[in-house]
Amino acid sequence: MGLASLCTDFHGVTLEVSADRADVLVAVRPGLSRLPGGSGATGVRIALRNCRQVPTPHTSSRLFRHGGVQGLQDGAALWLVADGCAVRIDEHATEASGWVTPAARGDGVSEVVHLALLELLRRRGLYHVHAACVVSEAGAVLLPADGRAGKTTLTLAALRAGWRLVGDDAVWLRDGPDGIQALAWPEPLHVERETAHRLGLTDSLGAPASAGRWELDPERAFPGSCVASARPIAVVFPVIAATETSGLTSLGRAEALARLLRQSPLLFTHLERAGGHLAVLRRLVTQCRCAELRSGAEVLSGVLPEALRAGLGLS
Amino acid sequence: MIGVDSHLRPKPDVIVTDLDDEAVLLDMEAKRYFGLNDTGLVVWRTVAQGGTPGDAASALVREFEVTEAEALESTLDLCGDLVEAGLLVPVEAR
Repeated sequence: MGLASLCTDFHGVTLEVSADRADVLVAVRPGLSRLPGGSGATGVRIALRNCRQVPTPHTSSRLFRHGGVQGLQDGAALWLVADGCAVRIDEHATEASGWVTPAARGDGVSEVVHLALLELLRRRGLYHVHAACVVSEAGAVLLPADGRAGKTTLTLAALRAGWRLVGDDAVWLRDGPDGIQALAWPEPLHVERETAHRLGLTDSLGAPASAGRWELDPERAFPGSCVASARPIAVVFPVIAATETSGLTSLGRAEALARLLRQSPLLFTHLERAGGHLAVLRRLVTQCRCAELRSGAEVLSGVLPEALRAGLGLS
Repeated sequence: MIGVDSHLRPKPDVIVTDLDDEAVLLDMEAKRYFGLNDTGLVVWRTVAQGGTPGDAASALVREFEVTEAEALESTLDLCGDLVEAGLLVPVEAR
């Protein structure tokens, strides 16, 4: 039985994290703090308990490593393991059990819980993709890319141009009657000081984040810009180009799907769920125009590349 | 060595996602993916349904403007790549 729990709502799915130690919830809280409270019947749940030593799977194979977290397959169960912390998710379960030692670092616990929520949300039909998503009057443009590919700079350029924001680093995809929707997980942008300076946004920077970046509250810098969801009409893969101007090149759907797979963590964790996950990505590239954007230096001055507008017919 | 009359089958745990005339193969065990263009998809479908590389080359000749020699060379190259990638498995003759 948990001492206390955090209960939030994520697009109609209740996320509950309970723990028998207050400091564990303190570590997890920042990642969930911007979601509204929730108490719905349909949800996912992680119960964390204090222990002296975390249990480990008996026979396991490593699925992935993400930051300080290892994903291990033990039979049909998925284990997410960091120093002093582990979460086990059984096949088909929408609840997970976890263990935390007193020596566990708060950021490690937070990372394990975050990844566990990603996997549990997949089981509720919500699929995470590592991408920014900005919205013009014509519709949303998804920008999937590795870190340091210019997602945040492009996002800020779009916001300056009056576009709106779903997310700058992570969005969730859900299939619905109107096609694939991109859903927001409200969180601050993480911006390099130099980028903020060039874009005239230094005064909007908040607390230091990780990797030399600072938090920037999009709602404060661009009031009214944040939207909860939008329907993508284009998937654009940004890469940084050593040119002043930018260029857009159309991509075939198979190429776009293959690139999306790279930005879809946990895709390989379960054969059955991978089918559903792929079906959503397939429908996304089918409903969207797909292209690669080579972002030139113009983006750093806050100019949304004309190539993006013209190439996608968004002018 | 993959030949005209080799028999191959898709490795279990490979998910095929068709996109009209293209496809992406996802190997869940190796955690890799492989894109197929329109001609590659014809080869994959033929072989996955029990046909030989020779059958796949004939299908390419019927559906695309290629010579039999070109089709066979491309088919054997692709089948070799897919076997090397572990996405197709040679079936031993009985």
